[in-house]
Formats: sequence, C-alpha cells, structure tokens
Amino acid sequence: MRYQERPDAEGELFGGETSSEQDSLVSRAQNLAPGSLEMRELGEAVARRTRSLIAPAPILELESNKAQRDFDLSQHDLRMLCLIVLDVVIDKMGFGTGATRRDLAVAIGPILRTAEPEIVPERETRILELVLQALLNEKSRRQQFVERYAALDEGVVRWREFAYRLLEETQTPEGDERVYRASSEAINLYTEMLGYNLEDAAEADLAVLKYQSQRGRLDDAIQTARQAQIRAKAYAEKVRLALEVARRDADQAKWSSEILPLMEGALQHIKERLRKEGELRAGLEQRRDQAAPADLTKLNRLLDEIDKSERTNLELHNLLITANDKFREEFARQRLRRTATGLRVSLEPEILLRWIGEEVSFARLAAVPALNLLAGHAVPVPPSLEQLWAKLLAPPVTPEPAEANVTLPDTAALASSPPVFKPEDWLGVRDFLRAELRGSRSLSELLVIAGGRGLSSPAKRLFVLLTMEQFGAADARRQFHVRPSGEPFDSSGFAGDDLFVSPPLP
Amino acid sequence: MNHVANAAHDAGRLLGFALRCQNPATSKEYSDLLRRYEDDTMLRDIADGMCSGFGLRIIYSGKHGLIVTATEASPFRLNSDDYKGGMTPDDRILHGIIQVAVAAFSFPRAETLVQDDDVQPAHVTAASLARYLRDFAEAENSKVADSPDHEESEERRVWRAVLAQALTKETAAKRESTRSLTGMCRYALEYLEKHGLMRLVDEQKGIYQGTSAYRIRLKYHGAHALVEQLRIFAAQRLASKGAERTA
Repeated sequence: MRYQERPDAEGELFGGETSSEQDSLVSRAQNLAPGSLEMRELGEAVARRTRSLIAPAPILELESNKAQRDFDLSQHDLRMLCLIVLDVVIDKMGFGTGATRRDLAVAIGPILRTAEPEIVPERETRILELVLQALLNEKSRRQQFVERYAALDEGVVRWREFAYRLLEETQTPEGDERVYRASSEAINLYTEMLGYNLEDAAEADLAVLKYQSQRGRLDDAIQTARQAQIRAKAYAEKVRLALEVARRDADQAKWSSEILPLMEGALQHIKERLRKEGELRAGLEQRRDQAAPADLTKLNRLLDEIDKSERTNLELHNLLITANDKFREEFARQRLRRTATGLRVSLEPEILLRWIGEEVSFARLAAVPALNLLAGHAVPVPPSLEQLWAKLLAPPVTPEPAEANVTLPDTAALASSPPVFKPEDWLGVRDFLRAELRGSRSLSELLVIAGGRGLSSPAKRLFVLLTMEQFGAADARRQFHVRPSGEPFDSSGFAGDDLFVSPPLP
Repeated sequence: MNHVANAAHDAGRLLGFALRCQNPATSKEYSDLLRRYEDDTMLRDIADGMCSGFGLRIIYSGKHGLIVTATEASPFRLNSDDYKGGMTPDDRILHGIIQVAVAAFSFPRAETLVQDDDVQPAHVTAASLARYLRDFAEAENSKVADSPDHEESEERRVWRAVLAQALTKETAAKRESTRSLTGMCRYALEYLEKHGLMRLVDEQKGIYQGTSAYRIRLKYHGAHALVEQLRIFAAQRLASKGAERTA
C-alpha cells in the first residue's frame, strides 16, 4: 500500500516514479490500441505524473540557482526551507486565515540558526524573503507558474500547459493584516497527490489511520493523521475556491448545474468523514485512559491531529450550509450593480502594449481619462476667503528651475525678485492709518486724504486691499472695523461699493 | 431630525468615507455604514441618488468599502491639475501611460486580475516600474526597426519620440528628479498610496503593493473602460481614414 511505503520513499517527496512503474508504462503503451479505454487511462496517468514532476520546479530552481545570489547560501537548503514554509502555512490555514510573516519567521528562525550559528537577524529576514519570493513567483509579478508538457491524448502526443500557483498573499477578512495561504496545487504537492481525487484520498487516509492505530503503530498513525488533516484542508480549499468563483461570477446557471451538486457531494463526504473520525477519536480516547506513559504523549498528539481535521470539516460544513443564501444575496446585488464583470482583460498585452504601439493623438486623448479611471477621483476643495487674500498679498512665486543636462554659463547670481509691496509701502500705510483713522470715515474720503498726503500708488493699492481683507476677517485677525456704506464710489483710480472704516474698539 | 433626514445624514457620511478612500478595516463607523447600505433600503436609495447626482458610479460596495468612479460630467472627475499641477502636454501623456503601466505591472494577465479581491498583487518600486516601461518601449522600437516593410505614420513616430525622450530623461548628476522617468513613476505610486490604492510595504526600499480597492477598481470597471477607450479610438481612426479615402 502506498501509505505504508512512505517511510522508505525518501527522495520521492513529489511522487517520483519507480523504475518498475516506468517499465510497466512503456510495456503498456506498446500493447495498447489508440483510442482504447486503457490508452486513455494511461494518458491521464502519465499527464498526472508529469504534472507532479513539474510542480516542484520553482523550489528546485531556487536551490540550484542559490550560488548566483549576491550572498552566500551554501549552509542552507532552500528546498527544505520552502517546504517548511509551506508546512507552516498549511498548518495555519483555515477559512480566511493563514500564516503571517511573523509565524514564518518564528518557524524558520531556529532552523536557520542551526545551519548557520553566526547568522544575524537581517540575513534571516533576507533568506525568508527569498523563499517567499520564489513561492509567490515574485519575479514574474505573482503570475501563475506555467510549464508546457507533452501528454498522451488518444494515443497521440499533444502539448498542454500546466499553470499553477504555490503561495498567495491575502488580506484577512477581519482587518488589515496580510497572511500567506497555500494554493490547492501546493497542498497537493505537499501531500504527494497532485491530480488524485481528494475525496478518495481522504477515505484511504482514514482507513489507513484506523488500521495503524488498531495495531498500535502510533508513530505511523501520527504521520497519517497529519497527512489526513492537511488533505482535509486541501479539500476545504478546493470547495471554498469553487464557491468563491461561482459567487463572484454570480452565474445562476453554473450555480444550479455545477455548484449545487458539488455542495451536496461535499456535505455527504463531510458527514461520513466526521462520523468515522468521531468513532476513531472515541476509541483513541478510551485507549488514552489506560495508556502507559510512553504512549500517552503519542496518543495526545494523534488526537490533536484528528481534532484539527474535525475542525476544518466543521468549518467547511458551516460554509456549505450558508453558501446558497450568500450566493442569492450576491446574485441580487451584482444583478443590480455590476456590469461587464464577465469580460476578462489582460492589462499587459491588451492595454499597455497597445498604448505603446499607438499614435500620439490617442495618447493625448486618452491620458487624462486614464488618470481618472486608474488613479481615483478628485475631491474639490473650495478655497477660503482667507486663502484668496493670502494669495493676493503674497510675494510672487519663484518658479523651480528645471534641471537640464547642460553646463551652466558663468553668470552672476540674479537679485531675488522684488515683492509686490515694498516695506516702505507697508510703513506708509501703517503711518497713514495711525494718523487719519481717528473716527469712522469712508474709503473714498480716506483715498482722497491719502492722495493729499502723497501716499504712493502701490501704498494706496495696499491700503485698499487691506481694507477689503479686514472686511471679511475673522475676529482674531481684525485690526480695524469695516462695514458697507451702501453707496458706490469711483475716485483715485478705484471703483466699487464704498466702505466705512473705523478704528478698533478699545 | 426625522427618519429621512437621519438616513440622508448617514448616506452623506458614507459618501464622505468613500471619497476619502478610507479603509473600512480602520473605521468602525464606516464598516457599520457599509453594512447598513446593504440592509437599509432608504439609506441605500439616498446614497445611490446622491452618487448619481454627483456623477459618481458605484462600482463596488462590500468589506473593502464603497468604491466609486467619477463620470465625465462629475465635479469629482480627476483632471490633470488635480493629479499634478503645472504639467506640460508631454508630461500629461507620460503620467497617463505610467498609470497604465502600474496597473499592468500589478495585474498583467486576466488570471491575475480576476483572483479573489483579497489576494495581494506583486510588489512594485519606482525603479522596477520605470525599467518595465522602458523594456516594453524599447522592444516596440526594435520591432519597428527590425521590420523593413513597416509603414509608420507621423503620429506614431511622434509618439515613439515622446516615449523615447521620457525613457532616457536623467538629470545631469544621474540623480533622480521629479521629471525623470523614475521620478514620475515614484510620483504615480505616491499618488496612488495617498488615495488608498497602493500601500507602502517598505518605506526604506520604496516598495509598494496595490490594495484590494485598486484591484476592485480595475477588475470591475477600469480595465473594461480602458479596452473600450482603445476600441472607440480605433473605430474613429478607421472612420476618418474611410472619410479621407472617399474625399
């Protein structure tokens, strides 16, 4: 039996073939007629095994390229570190949760320190970063890993593509935290069963677990129970993903034809599994009460793994019994709001490349609408009166000189730009107001007096602007009182509504 | 306040959160309002009506917030001065293509864009974005150069010249300036971060990552609208060429 052979199958972590299996494939292929049932079965088996060989490629590539990195990694096996990361992630996975970066750092830290006792924390972070980048396919901007492989289709060799992910970073539903989750391919890869039916594998796990525990092979049983609980997660992930895709697409027909039967099958599977796990747990709990101290720890560990599996199945059960209502809500919501969600757009080839190959008139036309589409919206803020006055009274803005790739000629530095109003204008206005603003006077009258006192033209302009600023000024900034007179005026080059200006109250 | 006035007040608060691109995970009031938007018909009708009046289109409401986009006539429509003041016409078109590049870098293929809203896209820095854009533009240039039969219109030649000039823009001291391509990319990322569409993963290294709101904006509206924009332009060009031939 495959599960009993595991301890001896070192080096076949990803489901490698034995030579006898390969011989049998060759001899079978030689004797089969194209199109026969056996030929189809052979084609499927070979394709499945080829995918099993392909899936760990990113992990193997990381290890084989480690000498090309700009820091020494010779003391570390990056393959092992990848698998430990996957192990921690899968262990922490449930519905909507996964392993945080801290979880991973805590898990691989001691291993890194054992391999390299003098390692510094920065290097630990860097190695974890490297492993995560490889599993996320960061160098290809987190796209799927894609590999072409030859498959036997009705006895004919055809090329197919195997696209898969290993790890994903997601935002937790509760908050703003980021966690890592393994894809179903990664979980399958980890449990050496890429392409196998998950329900069948789960059934087999339970049978083996029962057999091993009945015969007192507790060490083997712990391994099997751990594998079984990881497969429970893989199965839950597969079902969750199918429900999520259907909910997102809000496709009523697909929901009825594909998802409802899948849900029914899943509920049946979980019910059966919970029953068998319950029986197994009851038997083990009985044995624990009479167990010798040496077996007690092992039994507790075994029960812990079964408990984890039960929890995953219960969570999946809860998800399934509420899924139909959630879909109906989402369907109603999307029917009202979303449009064109069915259209799948590849931004790089369909948008960016076409923009680059377009004409300048398109780029001119499309640039600002693209900003509006991609960079959000504007929130117009009306300027306050105070801001407007500040702008009017401010010295002119010196533009920031653009940098250019030229050597500057030998020139003298320019004098700084003169302000709009010189200090003597400000002093002139101050003295004028101190001298003349003894009671309430109209602006037109004051302007005539200012002309008589020989106030310069900019000083008169400053006086008018300050009067207008004081008209709407907040109490804290008010230096004299200004109120409308209700009369128009036109003198000394100024025109508008006349104002009464009076000194501040004592 | 009566019931309607209360609902209008809450709809206004909800819209305020949406326009500030706040994250519902950081505000209990916002997440409560989002829940009410789903359950309370009056609040939803008023909020929808306000959005419609403001020329805002709701593209998503859920745990990632109320995500809106401004239509042509909306006062909330982003124009080039809102994005960056004092841009030259060339700057405007370069900032436009840089925003397209940020989106394509984060979600290159349909399969990456249609992933769960919670899945976080690739990390991006100003330098990697500039390199990405430069690689594509150079590939396009060599494609044109390698094709002897290629007939290039004046319009296309000008566009390639504008791109080429931008891609090689550096300062005298080889430092990054706001007018260099890397500087413009940095501006784009910072702008998106200020508007809740990117998050700063590592301040020291300048690493950014698109948020769920960014994915949603593209997945449910932006990407389709960009395709439509290209389609309309191609149709107009075809029509004008047809008219030229007829004349």
